[in-house]
Amino acid sequence: MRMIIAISSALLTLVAAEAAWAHAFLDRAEPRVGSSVAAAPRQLSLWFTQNLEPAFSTVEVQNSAGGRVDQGKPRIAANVMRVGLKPLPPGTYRVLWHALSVDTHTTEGSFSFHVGSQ
Amino acid sequence: MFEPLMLARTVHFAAAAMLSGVTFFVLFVAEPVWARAFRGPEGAVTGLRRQFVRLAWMMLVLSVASGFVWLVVLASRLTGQSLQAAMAGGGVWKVLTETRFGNDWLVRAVLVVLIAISIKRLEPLRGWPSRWEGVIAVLLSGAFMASLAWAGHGGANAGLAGVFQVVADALHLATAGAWIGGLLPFAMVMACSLRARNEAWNLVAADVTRRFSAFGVIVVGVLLLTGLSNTWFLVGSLPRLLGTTYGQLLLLKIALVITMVAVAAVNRLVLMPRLRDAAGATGVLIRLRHNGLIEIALGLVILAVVGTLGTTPPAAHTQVQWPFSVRLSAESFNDPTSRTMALALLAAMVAGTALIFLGVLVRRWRWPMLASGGALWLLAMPWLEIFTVKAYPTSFYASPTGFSVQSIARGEALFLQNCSSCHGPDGHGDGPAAKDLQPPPADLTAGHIYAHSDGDLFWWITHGIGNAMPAFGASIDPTGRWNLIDFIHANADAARFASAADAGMSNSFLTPDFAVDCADGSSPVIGDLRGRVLHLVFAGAHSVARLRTLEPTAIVVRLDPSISTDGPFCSTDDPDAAKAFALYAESSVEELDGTEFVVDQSGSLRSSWHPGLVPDWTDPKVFAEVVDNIRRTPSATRAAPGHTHIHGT
Repeated sequence: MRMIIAISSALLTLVAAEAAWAHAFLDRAEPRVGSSVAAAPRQLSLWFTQNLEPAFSTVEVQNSAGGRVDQGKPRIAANVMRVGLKPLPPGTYRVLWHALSVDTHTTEGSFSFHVGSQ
Repeated sequence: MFEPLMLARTVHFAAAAMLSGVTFFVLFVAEPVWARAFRGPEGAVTGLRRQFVRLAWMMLVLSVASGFVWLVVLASRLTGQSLQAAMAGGGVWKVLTETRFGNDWLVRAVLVVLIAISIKRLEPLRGWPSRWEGVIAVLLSGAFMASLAWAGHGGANAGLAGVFQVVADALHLATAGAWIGGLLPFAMVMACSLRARNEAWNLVAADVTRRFSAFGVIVVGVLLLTGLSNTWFLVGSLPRLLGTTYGQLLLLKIALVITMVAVAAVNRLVLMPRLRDAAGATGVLIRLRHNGLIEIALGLVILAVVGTLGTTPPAAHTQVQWPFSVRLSAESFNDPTSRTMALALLAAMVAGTALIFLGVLVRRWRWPMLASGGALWLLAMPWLEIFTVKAYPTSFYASPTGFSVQSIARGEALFLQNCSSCHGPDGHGDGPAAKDLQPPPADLTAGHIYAHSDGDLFWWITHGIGNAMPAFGASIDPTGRWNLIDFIHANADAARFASAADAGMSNSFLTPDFAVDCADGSSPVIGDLRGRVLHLVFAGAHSVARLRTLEPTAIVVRLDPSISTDGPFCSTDDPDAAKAFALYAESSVEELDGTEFVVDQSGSLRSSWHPGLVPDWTDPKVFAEVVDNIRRTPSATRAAPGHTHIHGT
């Protein structure tokens, strides 16, 4: 019995060697990732591949100077995260998101979009 | 890498499985056998019950401890606090009250209390006071195991599919837990029978093996069905099963389960019948106990794999690294030169399999059927390679760019810079450098382009093709390479589009995707608008009059931002949209003014028109007829996301 426990713990540590983290991936966004929109959007919507935990998922939208231009706390329902935006003058904006999926895995990422003609 | 969370998970899974297994085993396997074997109290039975109660307490304490570690480590990860700070500073409380995982843990804490009560009620002398208390104990510990589904990948998907997935997962956990957890009590009964060395306990061992195996058949059935459901949701395809870490771990787990089932089958079919013979019983009991321990070891390894799977991104969300140098392909059925051969081989394989199957089932003619079935397979074997094509590690990579106009436009720029000197500006393989090259550069508009997967093209662009083509992996970033592939597809489609549309053929040409701004404030992408026929109008200075006559449902691409946007249309002035659609119009961006396209309800580009062509689309009656025709002859549908470019030829 003791030997079996020893063998299984050895195997267990072997298998444990491969452990990755990452889960709710960004499926799509509006404005779209890397897109140019003519008119300033009033809100940002992010669709994820998994349902999110509202308490631990955040998003920040920054202008090129690094100032925050979102309205603060996002609204999260199932796999969609939305946040209101302040009136955006033409320019490039950076979206930084941080998501916790309901199966307790965190992911984060960022992308940019552009407002106004290029 | 030492991973405390994975360790806590594995220990918790094992303890919860043991807990549910021991209550299940006592009530449904051991007690009925004892009731039949012994009239009145039996010392060894009381001793076993006492051991089972002790085992249950140990596993309950271990589950609580490992569950607590899991919770605290997770809370500290999520809040970015140290372990102590997470406990004292409310991080643990926030996780408990505000996440699905935490709510699950609160429910399971209540279950722990109820399970403790029901273990306390199990008396070593006569078991549970009533059968119902035993059933409740089994249900509670089963629920304790099943509720782990809400702490894992199951149910993270949205909607009804998510509900189905989590229910199947819960059933999978409860069943697997009862089985794996029942193995240790099983081995303990075998050990007890071995010590007793009498006829009555030999019979107990035989009956326990039979009952446990009978449940085992049900268990394997449930595990198979629910496991298939989990695999479908979390893996989704054969390449993903073979070519991702998650899929390979799952295959390892399936192999371990099959080994376990094989050992269980030996117990039931070979060893159990021999227990009737008192003389050889001791040797058989030693082997049964031995096999029980082997199964426990396998079960623990399976639980460790499960613990790892839970911290590995499901295969459905990662790129596939194809592990083989070939992949299956149905191309030989399409190619007229190989079609007869392919059909003959297919027939031989089907007939061979049927013969082998019949040979196993039917005793009469068994050997002739097995031999001829095997012979058919052997004959087919050397030719089977016509069902495969060469494959690369990236063959099943999915493009991350979508078929967007931005991607196509960037791909075109990269193409002109890096590829056109050999492949030609239009991709026909006729660039200025082409005439000196042997083999000649490929015509990227020819039919073969559709036979290669996106991942194959990605591999060739990244690593080159022998001496025939240089590698671009170092000079073009991965996104750029995907952009090139989008352009190559758009360019090949564009080369066919005009003639197909003229011939009234309903070939499927995926519409390049772009976002539009609509009057109601929404900004959908073309891909979102599936289900209705779309009218795309490329409007420049010459189209002002046309805009006034358009239906409000038209989608306008303004070639000049100064064109009025007052209309009720959804519109954009994305210059990349003009660049991408100029390919399909076989014109330049400057000549695009006034060109119109119709997209059918499944998102396929179907027809185009420009001023001066007859019939005249500006005539509302003519245009209504065009739309009506397209609506009535749907194109071949294809998968919505991640264009795969499988064309009917």
